[in-house]
Amino acid sequence: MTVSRRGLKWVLCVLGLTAVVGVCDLSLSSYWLYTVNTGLLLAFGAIALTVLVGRVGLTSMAHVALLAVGGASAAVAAALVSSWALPFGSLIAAIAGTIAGAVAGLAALRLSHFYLALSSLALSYVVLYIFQRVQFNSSHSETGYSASASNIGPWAITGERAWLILLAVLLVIVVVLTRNVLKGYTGRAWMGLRDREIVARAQGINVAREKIIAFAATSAIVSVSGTLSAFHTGTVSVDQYDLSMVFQYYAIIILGGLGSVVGAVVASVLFSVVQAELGNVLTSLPTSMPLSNELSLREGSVIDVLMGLLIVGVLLFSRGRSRSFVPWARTKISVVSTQRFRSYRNAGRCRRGIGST
Amino acid sequence: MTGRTRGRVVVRVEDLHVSYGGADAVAGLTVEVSAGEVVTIVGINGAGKTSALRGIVGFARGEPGRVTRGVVSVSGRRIPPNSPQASVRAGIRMVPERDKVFSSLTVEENFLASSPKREGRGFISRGLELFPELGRRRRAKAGLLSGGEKQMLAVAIALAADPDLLLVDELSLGLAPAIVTRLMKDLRDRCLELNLALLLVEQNAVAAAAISDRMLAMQQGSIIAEEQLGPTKAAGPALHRLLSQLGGGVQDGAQLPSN
Amino acid sequence: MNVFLNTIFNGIIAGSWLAATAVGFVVLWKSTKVFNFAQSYFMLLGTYLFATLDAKYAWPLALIAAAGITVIIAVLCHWLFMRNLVGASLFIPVIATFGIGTLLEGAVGLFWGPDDRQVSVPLYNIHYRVGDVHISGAQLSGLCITAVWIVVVILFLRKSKVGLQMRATAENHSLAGLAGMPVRSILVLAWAIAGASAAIAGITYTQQQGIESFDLANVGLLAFPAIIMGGLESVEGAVLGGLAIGLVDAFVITYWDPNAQFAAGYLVLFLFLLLKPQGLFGERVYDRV
Repeated sequence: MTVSRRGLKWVLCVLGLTAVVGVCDLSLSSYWLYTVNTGLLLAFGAIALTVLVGRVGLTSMAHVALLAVGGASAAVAAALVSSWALPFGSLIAAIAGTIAGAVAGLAALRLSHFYLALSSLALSYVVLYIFQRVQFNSSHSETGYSASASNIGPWAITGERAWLILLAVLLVIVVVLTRNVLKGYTGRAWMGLRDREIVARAQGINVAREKIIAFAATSAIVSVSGTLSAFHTGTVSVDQYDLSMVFQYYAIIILGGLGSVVGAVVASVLFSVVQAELGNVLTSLPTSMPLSNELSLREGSVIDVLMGLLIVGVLLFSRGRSRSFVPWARTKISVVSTQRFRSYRNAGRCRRGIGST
Repeated sequence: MTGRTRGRVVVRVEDLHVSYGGADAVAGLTVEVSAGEVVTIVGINGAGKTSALRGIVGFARGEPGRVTRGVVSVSGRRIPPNSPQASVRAGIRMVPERDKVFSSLTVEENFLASSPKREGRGFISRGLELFPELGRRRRAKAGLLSGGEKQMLAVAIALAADPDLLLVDELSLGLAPAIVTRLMKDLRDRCLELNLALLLVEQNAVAAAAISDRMLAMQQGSIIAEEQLGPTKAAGPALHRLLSQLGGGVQDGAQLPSN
Repeated sequence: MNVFLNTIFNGIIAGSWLAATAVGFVVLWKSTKVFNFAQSYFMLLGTYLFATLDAKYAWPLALIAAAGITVIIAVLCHWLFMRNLVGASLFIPVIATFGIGTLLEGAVGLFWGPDDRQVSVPLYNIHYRVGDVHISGAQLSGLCITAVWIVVVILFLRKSKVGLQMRATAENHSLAGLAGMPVRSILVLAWAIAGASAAIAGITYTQQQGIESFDLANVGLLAFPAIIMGGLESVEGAVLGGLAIGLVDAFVITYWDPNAQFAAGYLVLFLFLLLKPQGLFGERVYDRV
């Protein structure tokens, strides 16, 4: 593509997005804006996870821990600084997240697959426990910490409309950056890691460095999203964080297509919308329907059932296919179809071992 | 012995196509093997020989290959493709190229696990009869056996099941020439004794020629030449003709050149 | 009452049901290479089934029925979903088990509701004292049930022909198929054992707590440290790992902070992963080919 055509494409995208945001801003009620914002906040974590799982091939269950770290950063920032709390908190979260991610990356050098997933689970438990101890020994044990001072200098980000603009801008930056990275050397190196680590190593890719970078970068994004979430909600408390969030994220990235950045964003917003609306749908079910009473009361369980069916269904459906479930998200990669063949036996053999050569 | 008639066709493979994710490894294999006959397919690495054998047995769900076309019949009856279970039930047994025994099980347990329903002791003793040296190692873990012993075990297990057709993939791989010769001879003797059809795949064409009745040359998924061998003096020239089809002059006793 | 001895005893009790579910998990892993994150959700299902059935029938019957239904559900999961997902990648099935776990959690919540409920516990009011240790009838019966189950499974695997075939299949599916083993049935059996183990573990845990609650799904996640400690490939190791984690937990609960249960258990897991990843009894650890 010539430079001018690429430039034109960019301008069109930006204009298009501004239009979308503007339309949302003007036409949606506060309730819907809140829903969309929640979805956008989820999108950051979803992008991180879909890149990690879909492009680099590493499983992680550490999202909860990272979000908690982000939340803690928000609380700390709000307590220390008032007028620049938002960016300050984000900075702390980014640093903490990067460090945590780098450590996780180091662990990923020695462990593979489920061992890595279990370690990330261990991290989550430890972080949440520490958080709980700190919170319950403080004066905030019941109400949680306050993070309402969401200011960027003189601008106060209050109200859903302001959040929409902020999140949209940040998200666009993240998406653009991510896609650039994925198209570049790092992205291709990661794909090498995912498919055949031995071959990648032979090709001169510094496996260790790439793994650490992958973890550090994605962890930073998740942590920052945790900070933003905290400011958006206004309070931070350890009981906001639960292991089921991890499964939510996995459901989202499966829906959007493993490895698809745009798909992750779309799926996040969809997920948020469905979650919001499901309650209404269930309560307005005709009472003649069986289980209608139970369904309306147990919204959370219905979501669980749907999520579970979704994950399994999409995996079964997209087996061997290289398109994502969200058709307009251009996924060229599906983890199932591009995994090179290993014999049935060798799969068990290699994976059982921990530690790379 | 068994009710098999010598010379009667045991297995007929027609137009077999095997593909791995879209790429054809075997493109139209047609071959017949009769009871008491030893047929060997030779070719270089990657010619599709192993895929051909696996294709005759069939691929289970989750294995990467697939039989996309072709018919395999044993004793006149068609076997459903891609069903190892049906093939085994129809009387086909295969000794694969790699991982031919269960390393974490003992020799005895290897026999026991592979024995048909309600047979246990009988199966083990039948198998140990075939290769008495295994008897000495019956309580050893199969993973600790030498290459030759593992091969013996694998062949013994397959033979003890009294199959109609035995497929052996690369019997000679990794074994010393003396053991190869001995194993091949043993195999041929059993084959004649039990009137079973034997289909071998080999890179060591010369060693296989010593025991084969017929030899097929395979290249890039298709059979390109076929020669009758047999224990006559004509075996030498026939073998040369066959091997020259595969390209390159081959010395007596040498392996086929790999690509 | 001697706190120390009681802690040890409580640890063994906790360890026994952890061991039970760990055994099921390892059998399933060895046979199918599926890392079943849904295992603790099978526990949940079994427990709630038991509580409902127990209200109407005698508890041994309820136990068997609940375990049986869980087995059916587990086999269905395999038949409908998991066996279609086998292939080159090992973590697609894992993500699928995330989905199955979530699905089960939702289903249980839909049918039974998310509130905690009292469970009738037979023998609850019987207490023994052995020296300075306090033992309740529920604990004892739970211990016996899990012990019997574990012994049955181990004997089955070691001594019976089908158990042998399971071990063979676990090593090499392809070869097992070539040798004429009923691989499909063996896989179904592996899922059945996993389901039954989970149900039994969940039921005995609930018996000891007296309350059925959703928290069980989380509690069941403590099985993973046990499994890793024992070495992923070893059934006997899983038993010992279960006991060990049970003891660790009991001590943490008694002497430090009950909320630190998970963190402590998983720290142990992490230490093992770093220092001795093959666990105490794991077999050869292969490098990637």
